[in-house]
Amino acid sequence: MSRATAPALGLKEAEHEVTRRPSVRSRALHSPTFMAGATLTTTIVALVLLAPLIGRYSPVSQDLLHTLAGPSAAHWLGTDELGRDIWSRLLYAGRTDLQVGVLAVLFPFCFGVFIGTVCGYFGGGIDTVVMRIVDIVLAFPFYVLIIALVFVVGVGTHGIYIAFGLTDWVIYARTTRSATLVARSLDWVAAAEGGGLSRKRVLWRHILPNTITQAIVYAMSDIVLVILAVVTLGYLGLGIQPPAPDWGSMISDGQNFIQTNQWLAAIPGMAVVLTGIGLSLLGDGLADILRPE
Amino acid sequence: MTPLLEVEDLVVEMRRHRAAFHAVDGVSFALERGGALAIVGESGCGKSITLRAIMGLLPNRGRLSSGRVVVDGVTLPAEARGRGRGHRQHRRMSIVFQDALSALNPVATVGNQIAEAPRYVLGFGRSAARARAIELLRLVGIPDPERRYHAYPHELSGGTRQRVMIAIALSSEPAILLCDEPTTALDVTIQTQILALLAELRSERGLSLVFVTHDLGVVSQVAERVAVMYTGRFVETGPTAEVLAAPRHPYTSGLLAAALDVDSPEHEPVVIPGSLPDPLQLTGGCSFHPRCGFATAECLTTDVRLQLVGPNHAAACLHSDVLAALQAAGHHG
Amino acid sequence: MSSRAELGDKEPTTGPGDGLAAGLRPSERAAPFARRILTSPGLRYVIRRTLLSVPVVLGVIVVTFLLLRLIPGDPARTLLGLHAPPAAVAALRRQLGLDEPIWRQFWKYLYGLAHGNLGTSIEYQGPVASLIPPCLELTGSLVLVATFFAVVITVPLAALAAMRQDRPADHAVRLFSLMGLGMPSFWFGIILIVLLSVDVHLFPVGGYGTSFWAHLHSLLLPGLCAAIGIVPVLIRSLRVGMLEVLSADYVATARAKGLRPSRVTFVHVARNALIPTVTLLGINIAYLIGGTVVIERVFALNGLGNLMLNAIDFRDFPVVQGVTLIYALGVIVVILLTDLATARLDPRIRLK
Repeated sequence: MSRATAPALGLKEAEHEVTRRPSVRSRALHSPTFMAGATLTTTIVALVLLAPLIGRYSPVSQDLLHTLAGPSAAHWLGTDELGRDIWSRLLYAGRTDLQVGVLAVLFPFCFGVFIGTVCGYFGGGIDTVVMRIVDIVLAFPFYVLIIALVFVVGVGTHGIYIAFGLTDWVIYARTTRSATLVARSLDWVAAAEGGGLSRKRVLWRHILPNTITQAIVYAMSDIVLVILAVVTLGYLGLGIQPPAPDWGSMISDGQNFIQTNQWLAAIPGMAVVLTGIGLSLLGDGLADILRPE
Repeated sequence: MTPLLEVEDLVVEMRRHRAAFHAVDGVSFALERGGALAIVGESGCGKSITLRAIMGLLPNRGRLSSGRVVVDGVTLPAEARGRGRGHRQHRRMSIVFQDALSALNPVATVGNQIAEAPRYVLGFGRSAARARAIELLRLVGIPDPERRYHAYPHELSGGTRQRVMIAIALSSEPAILLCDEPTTALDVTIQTQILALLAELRSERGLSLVFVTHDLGVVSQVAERVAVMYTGRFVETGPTAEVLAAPRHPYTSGLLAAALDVDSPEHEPVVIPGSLPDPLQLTGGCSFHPRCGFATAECLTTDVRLQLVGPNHAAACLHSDVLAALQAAGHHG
Repeated sequence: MSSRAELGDKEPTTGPGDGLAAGLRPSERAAPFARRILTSPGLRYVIRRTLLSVPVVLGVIVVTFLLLRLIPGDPARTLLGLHAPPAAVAALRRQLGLDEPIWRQFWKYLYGLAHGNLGTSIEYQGPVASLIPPCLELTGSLVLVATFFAVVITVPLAALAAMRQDRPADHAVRLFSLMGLGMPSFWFGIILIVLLSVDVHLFPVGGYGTSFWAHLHSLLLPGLCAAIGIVPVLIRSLRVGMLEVLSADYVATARAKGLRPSRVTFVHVARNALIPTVTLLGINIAYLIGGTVVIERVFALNGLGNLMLNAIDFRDFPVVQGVTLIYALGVIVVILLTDLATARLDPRIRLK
């Protein structure tokens, strides 16, 4: 049939596609979610990075004459049971936790996206095998697997990296694989392939830019998850080991004094919550900005 | 004789990304008992929204900001959306959607969905409603209706689903059927069958029809009156035969020229230059002028309204006479 | 008009009579029972889906078996640490059967599992399998209570947010779930204990109690805390799912019929919104189960999680291995049940 009668495929809402979409930067600046998240996260990151400057004490130096003191001019948030300055400990602990959290996600992100793209694009035996492995890893409750792995490979930061490296990549692999499958079926990708572009080039220039946005958005919420896990492991004594400060172990230590000095346990927890809020807002904002309209 | 359905100056406001615009900008028409009106236009001209506004089914982003809908002399309350679809006059109208798969409840059997209105709105008993549903299935041409009653929407083919949609629309015993591109997603053969079904329903049951489509080829099979819609307004209305033979608005004439390609191989493909304007960026004057070969300076500033160019024929163009003259001289617009 | 062509062109490909088996008339249901079982698409789906779990179960068994051998080197030395005396290491090797070739070890492991033998605890010097049941009962109950809380909190809030999209209620719900995203559940537990148990004595500070009602009472706070682990994510996802349902065309069709709004809401919207709810619950339940491990520590509950953590303190590998396996099997069962429930709710799935 002629042009005027070509079926309009599934256009439920009559949206006009004539307006050009504002640039990424403009969208970022106009998204309240993104700006709020970016502001909060940057503030927290700045605070912990400046720990040596604004934390006025070393996180491990004890002052047994002034234990469990309340907030004062000398100690802005008071001291803990060994006389250590809580404000400084909070900042240094944040430094460690954030650093470990972000680094622990790096390998799973890279490996997961890589293997997911390979599976989605090439399919076949490798796809089946990898997806079965993904199913098996996902059959274990997250914390159970992490704890068991940390038990086997050893506690501390290296144990954390290994444990997350072995388990956290699966969601990236799965989402990237789905996104790659979708991208592969798009007409213009077929056109690129048919046009003689090498597979590697198609993957890198055409498919990856589209699939990686989903992985990046997920990575934001994954960092929150990993920080929570690091803090939980710290609480259980299986994470970052003393004397290095960690929000989790601060909560665990503070729990002993819960009847008299509640803030010892409460403050580190609030720090975790704030960090989580900041990163989640950032992730949501990114999702809004990067969403293909 | 009062018209069965009268729509007066319907204006629908839609919000998009914090900006608002008029998706429907002053649409009026009247439908006689047993009559049929086709509304033709490209995707995005506001024709589907018009139907939804009449039915009170606008999405959250939309709002009926002014205008009246009068059924059998009774004005419908403006805010029936969401609240009372139970208004008795509203029940005299039914709507058939384009995509039957998404318009049918995926977890309920087809038969139960057809029986629902008789049972819960018309007051039928359980077995009476079921019998009615089977009767309607048979009426819309679905064989073995007792068996088909228990099928789920995804188990049926596209054409059957569309028939089910029509059966559901008929189940509330309407006098008016609003059809939103019911045949667009179907194969041509099935399309013909559905159109024949609709014609049959009109002649045997006296149903009145408003048929929205972007397919000019279908219009003459369906309705004796047609309205051509562009950016939320009617730009030409009139008897179908007359409008198709002698259009008096450049847009209509452009649509016809593009549609006639297949039948007239010696003609070059005619494409209306440009594309639908962004409704948020409409300036004053005729909204078609950027794409119009007849546009003059006047067209940029005058707010052009429908004017009679024949006994029942109206066009919203300052130069409809020029167009008529050209046609008389044997050229296309 | 001939409609026969249409009837044929999009029939499901699962076999003769399948697509309409659900639509059999009473007279047709008199067919032989066995034949109905084999051709019933619902039951075939159940069997097929259950069989799909088998490779995962096998994989999980292999992983728990390999757990100790992840580190290059001697597993016994890994367990005891680098400074352990060689005699102790050798003794442990013998005890754990690490002397033998690996396939022999695996076969013994499988054989043991088939007979309900999960190994011998180093600390208790008794079968691991005997330690499991009371802990399993507690953890299982905790998971049930937590799931209950998760559903009871999430569904109304997500529905409210979806129905009042972009209005204050929606923003409030989203803010609430945002705060919960980064909240450590154990910290929330500590706060709750401070507020409700220490000074006010509304709930026990810890422990499980001895009667059924005491059990329930002592599981309320822990259950709530464990639920908080997934409620924020669940609210966000379910809100999106419900928005999709609310804006669906079939809701417009239902309203167009003139049905009462309550009927539209409960029969059309709710029934369809149930599907993503169950699906999301299935996806997140594994995380919920894992979260109970630390909750048990906070509230001093002797469940599987506590058993595992204590075993870690004592380097009791067989217990760690056994408990990990039980957890994984539990998750597989729960996910299987949710998949079956989803198929029951959604007729579109049974035909795939």
